[in-house]
Amino acid sequence: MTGPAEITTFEITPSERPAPPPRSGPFFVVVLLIGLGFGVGGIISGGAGVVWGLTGGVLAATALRWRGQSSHPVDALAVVFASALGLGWSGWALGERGSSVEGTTALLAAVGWLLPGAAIGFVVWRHSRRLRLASVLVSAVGWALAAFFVFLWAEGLGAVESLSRTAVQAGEIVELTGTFYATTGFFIALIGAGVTFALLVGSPALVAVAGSITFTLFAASQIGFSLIKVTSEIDKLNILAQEFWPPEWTWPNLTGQPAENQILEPMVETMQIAVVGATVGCLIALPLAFLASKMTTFNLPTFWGSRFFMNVIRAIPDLFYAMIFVSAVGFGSPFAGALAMIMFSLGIMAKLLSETVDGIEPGPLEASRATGARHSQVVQYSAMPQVLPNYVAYALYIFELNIRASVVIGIVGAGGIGRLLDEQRVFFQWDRVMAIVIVIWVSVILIEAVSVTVRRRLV
Amino acid sequence: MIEFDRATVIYPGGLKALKDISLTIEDGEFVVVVGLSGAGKSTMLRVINGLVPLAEGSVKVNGQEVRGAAAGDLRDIRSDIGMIFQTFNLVNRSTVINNVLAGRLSMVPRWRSTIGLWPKADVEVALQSLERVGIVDKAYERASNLSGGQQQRVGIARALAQEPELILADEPVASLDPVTSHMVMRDLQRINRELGITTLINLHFLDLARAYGQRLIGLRDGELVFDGDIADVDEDVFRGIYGRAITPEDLLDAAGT
Repeated sequence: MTGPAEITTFEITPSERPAPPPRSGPFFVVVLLIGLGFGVGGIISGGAGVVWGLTGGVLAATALRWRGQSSHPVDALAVVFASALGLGWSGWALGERGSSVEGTTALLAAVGWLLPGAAIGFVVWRHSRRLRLASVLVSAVGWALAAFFVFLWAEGLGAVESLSRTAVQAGEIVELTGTFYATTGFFIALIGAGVTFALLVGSPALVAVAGSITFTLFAASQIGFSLIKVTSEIDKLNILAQEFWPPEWTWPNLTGQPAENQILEPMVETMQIAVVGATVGCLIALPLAFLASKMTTFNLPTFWGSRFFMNVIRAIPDLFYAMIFVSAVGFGSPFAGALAMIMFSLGIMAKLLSETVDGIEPGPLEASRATGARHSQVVQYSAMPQVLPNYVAYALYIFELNIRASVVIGIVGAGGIGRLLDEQRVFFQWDRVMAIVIVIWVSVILIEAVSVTVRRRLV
Repeated sequence: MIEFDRATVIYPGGLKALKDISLTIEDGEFVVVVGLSGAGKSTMLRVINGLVPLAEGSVKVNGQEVRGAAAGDLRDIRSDIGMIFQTFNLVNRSTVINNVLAGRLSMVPRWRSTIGLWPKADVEVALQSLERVGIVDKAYERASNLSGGQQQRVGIARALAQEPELILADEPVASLDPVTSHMVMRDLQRINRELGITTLINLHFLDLARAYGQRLIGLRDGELVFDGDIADVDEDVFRGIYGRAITPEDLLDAAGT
């Protein structure tokens, strides 16, 4: 048996200390502080665009830091410099917005925003050997489809209504009721046969699948879903194409003056709403999520209290928030949109993160509790590192959701491009709607591409 | 000095994990606690730093009562007690040095730990702790990149960084292979002898207990069945603790051979 070896002296022998890696910590703090400072200033002065570049910078720095890769000072400096430059530019360009609507204004602002984007790109590039182009493309296509559906969602019944109006005008009223019921009946019979077969075979999984399909079809029949209807009206896509194409990019404004790029500016506003909503919402959600998990909460009252608060926030849909805040701060105000997006982001992030916290390793928490650390220190040092990569990934995902959601809430008057979309839709200006949708499309794809790339670095 | 006086622990659900334990551990002792799993070894360690509350009786650390101590007092008691775990309990995503610095959390102002601006002196203590267990060269690596033995040494360094008066080691070698187990046990023994830190270790393997321990405490079903010099442990004592004769599974260096 291997016994204890001879007891060697236990002096500390002076040995070569490893050089600490370049500290990204202080730089991170600097970026964060500048970002917060400018962000608060931006919100107060009404120039929400200021938040944009710095949020990106902070997110990138956070991402790299918590990826465990201490970024080089040059990374942090690049992001800070470019962000400062970018927001200065944007701030200057957007400063003129209130007085006169100039097409070049929004364009200039957007160009200014490219700088922090480029800086983030530079940092990401420095840390990743290859950009997986294929996956970005795949997700771009996915987002293109998603954007289209968002449009359909936003349009809702309105689109269908106007299409049938067109059909009526053309004297092509189609009686669908009979075939509709026949189809539904046929499908239900088919599924019934499927369930019977599954029961005969004796597979619970098959029964479950057949059962859920049956329920789906029942629900579909209740809401008037019919494949026949789709096929019989496919020729109306021609009308759709004629009405929507070619897109009309510019049109005179209400005073009859010719204007340029009136689409880009509201799109910019929508992004601002999304950024402010995601940033503020996710920041508030961080402590809330730790309070709402049994792992890290203080005591039962804080646990149940934060849970209750979280559930109440999440139970109210974003459109309803938008309507409440619009009536509070005024119709067409992007500030109302930002408030709605804060509540939206807060609800999602608190829920996602608290469930992630539920699943962390309890061991490290016990270890730092055993050293006599305060509760907040235990949470910061043992719980937070375990969930931070998830937190950043969720934040980016919520930002993507916010972009889409803030398009929709514009329709109820919360500012941004949604309002523009609604204005043109009301007057059946489908060619203009098409132009607006293309702008949304492109923006969402670009944001998704960046977000996906950064998030991939975290997994 | 640790004083157990009729210490009893009842877990939610009614399980009596520790029954009427009374004993005293003097400063500088190297004590090994043995027993079957479920005998109350881990519980016994955890009542000392208040991670598990007592139902009855009392436990005093250096004359300070742990039972019912106010939150602040309990943190003070804990800051003098280092703890080492079977599963190391490191934050895998953090660097080694950050894991060791966790041992200094109770000693720095809160704002410093919040923004991660550690005083140079504390970083030096952490580096010295790592030096003592011989892995200072890994200081800035991610904890998850280390081998099991190295991770346990980080665990020991975290305890040392507290500059503790007492170290509690809960099955410190149960997740390690025999060779590494001996290395870790030697580290703990040296720390005890050279720094004079009172050490309490839960062990499963009897030969490890014999090789490194001075005093042996045997627990069975939460009761104290043996407390004495390790040299006095014979077959009868073993039968009293384990309820059966020694088998190869009870010996680290025989297991698996």
